[in-house]
Amino acid sequence: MAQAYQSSKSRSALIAPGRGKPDLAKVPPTAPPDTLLPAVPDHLWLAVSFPFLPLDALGQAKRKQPMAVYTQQGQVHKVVTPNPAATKSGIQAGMTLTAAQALNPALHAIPRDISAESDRLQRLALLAGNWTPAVSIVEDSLLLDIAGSTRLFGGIKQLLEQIRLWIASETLAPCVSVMPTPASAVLCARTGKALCITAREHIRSAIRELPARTLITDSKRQRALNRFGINTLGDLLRLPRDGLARRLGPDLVQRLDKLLGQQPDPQNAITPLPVFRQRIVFDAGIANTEQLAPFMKTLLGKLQAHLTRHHILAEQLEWHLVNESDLSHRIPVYLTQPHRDTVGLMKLSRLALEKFKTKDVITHLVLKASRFAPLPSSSEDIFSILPKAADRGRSLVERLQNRLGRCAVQGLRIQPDHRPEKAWDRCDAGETGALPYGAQRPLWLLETPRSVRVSQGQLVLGDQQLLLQRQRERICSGWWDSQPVRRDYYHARTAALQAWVFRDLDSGNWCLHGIF
Amino acid sequence: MSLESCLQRRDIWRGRKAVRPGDAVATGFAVLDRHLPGGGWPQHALTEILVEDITYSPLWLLMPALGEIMPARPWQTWIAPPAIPYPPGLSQNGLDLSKILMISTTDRADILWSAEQALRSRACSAVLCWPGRLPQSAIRRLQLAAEYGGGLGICFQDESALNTHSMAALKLHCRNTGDGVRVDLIKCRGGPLRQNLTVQHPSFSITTKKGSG
Repeated sequence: MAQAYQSSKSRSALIAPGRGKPDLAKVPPTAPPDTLLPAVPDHLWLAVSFPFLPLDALGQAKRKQPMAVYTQQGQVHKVVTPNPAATKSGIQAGMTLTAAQALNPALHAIPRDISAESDRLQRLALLAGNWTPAVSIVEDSLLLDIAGSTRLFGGIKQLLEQIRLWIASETLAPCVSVMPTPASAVLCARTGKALCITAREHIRSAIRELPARTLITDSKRQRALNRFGINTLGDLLRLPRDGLARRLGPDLVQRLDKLLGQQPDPQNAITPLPVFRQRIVFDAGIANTEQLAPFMKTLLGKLQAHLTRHHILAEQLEWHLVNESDLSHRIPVYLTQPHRDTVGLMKLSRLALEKFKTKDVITHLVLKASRFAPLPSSSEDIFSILPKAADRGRSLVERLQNRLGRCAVQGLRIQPDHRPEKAWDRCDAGETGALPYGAQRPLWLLETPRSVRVSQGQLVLGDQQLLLQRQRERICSGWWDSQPVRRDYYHARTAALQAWVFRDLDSGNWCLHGIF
Repeated sequence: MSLESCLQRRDIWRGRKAVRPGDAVATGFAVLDRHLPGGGWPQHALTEILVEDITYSPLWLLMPALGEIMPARPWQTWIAPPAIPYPPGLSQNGLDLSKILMISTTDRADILWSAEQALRSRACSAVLCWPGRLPQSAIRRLQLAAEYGGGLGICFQDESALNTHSMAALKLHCRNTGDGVRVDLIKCRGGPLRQNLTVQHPSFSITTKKGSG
């Protein structure tokens, strides 16, 4: 199947450049057509670099007056990206800001905003989804796999034309380069070489002239390159590989291999998160949370449509109730298991809201869902009309958690520790811990041990006499975490209780710690 | 209303024999099994246990039954216990800790609400709660929820509830003795009321056996 698809693609590539009558008659009828046609690669990478991204992200790329983005390095401010007007007056990247301002006093300097840059790249990447679904972000460049789209857009040239038009309208002086390997495409775009090469055997000649510094970023190895007298990538490629790996590190050889396509270089295509955020603005403010119910239902209906469209289930919901002064109350809805059933979500939301008390007037309501799980592809039992016991168990936990809060509904587990008060803790419901071991333990443990009086040589608890049983269990542990325990534990009886008491070996005090 | 549908109802009293065999779970103590209708703690029902000191509720009285019914349903819910139900001890008594759901809240309304939800959910083999003093209406709600959900509902109260009217199927009063408890049945649906049933603490019976042997 893949073979057939590829051959049809390659045929169209052969026909397209001529635009005239395809001269298929020349192909000898005996030979299978695939062997004669140049293979179009499975992947063809288009990289776009944005030399003015720091300016562009701040919305200042197309200003005419001299501008520069700077960043703080230690004590000095350094210029990151000057705009073309600033470059004209001699300002370069890497200069200190004071030097740049001395060159051009009219320079308008703005601090760099890294998060705005990544947001901008994300947005461009989403727009690039127009041309191909396989879009990835490599540091500060976009990488598009366009092999699958060439035919749809009428050939590489036409596609390239369209992408160039789009990207030039979006940002300042982008560089677009098409290469057969992702690494070479990014390298060419970054160094400003707008190439269009489809065959792997041409990579070597295309990148031969590029400076070798582009592949190595740290200054130590750049100096080493200078010492070797290596200026271009062509020089690097000519050197023996093992020596190169020994002197400059094996990662450099790997990078060269990736450039030439001799090593796999998988890319992570970004998939947009199907975040859900919808709001309803009320004409008149709502003071009573009861009145929110119909609006919540509407929003949950929209959420369900969203979930159905993306074939996902919601893992977490959050309601925001926003009051007149724009302060929002966040009310999370806990789900123990991904859902998309509106009725169930509505019930849980009501429970979560029940405890919420406010005097504010709510002006709008927002529903947010940002964590999702894929829809499991399981087949249902034809007779399973009644909900299963496990489902009932989960829904009980959800209801309890939403009304009482998460930390009020928990499970218990055993911890492997000899100290009685540390031999257990709370955990998520349903979790399992260590297995019990050792001597018999009581059913109740007192949070703070209750002290036992000694009067006339006898132990007295309240007004009852304690009778010790013979066996003694010595527990000395915990010297390492400053909560040491040195105690002798005894089983004891009063007229009313089977007790677990201990004598502290340091202070000699007696305490009641548990009840059997 | 036909006779058949009358017999289906749980709230119609039909004498001692009427309790269906599957409706009770053996307590693990011979005396109690002999005298409780159906031979054990009633399921589908609320049991009120009145104790002298709520902090030292006799959990050991329930352990065999709780372990027995645990595998049937996903959870066993403990609501607002007065001290820490100690996991190593519970585990040694045959409880599966991963099925225990602890609800810690001090608000009475929340305790009752969670108890009702848990009893009604059909997801709990047993619900143990320590609600403090209960009004009649709350006991009735819990009893109805237990009838619907089918689990074992246990509600510990102190002796102040001794003379109040109760809708619970079983109400008993435990008085501590040196080696266990003495149980009085105060209310018992489907059976006669007994006094002074002596139940021995399991650890005590082991030690006496050792002593005699």
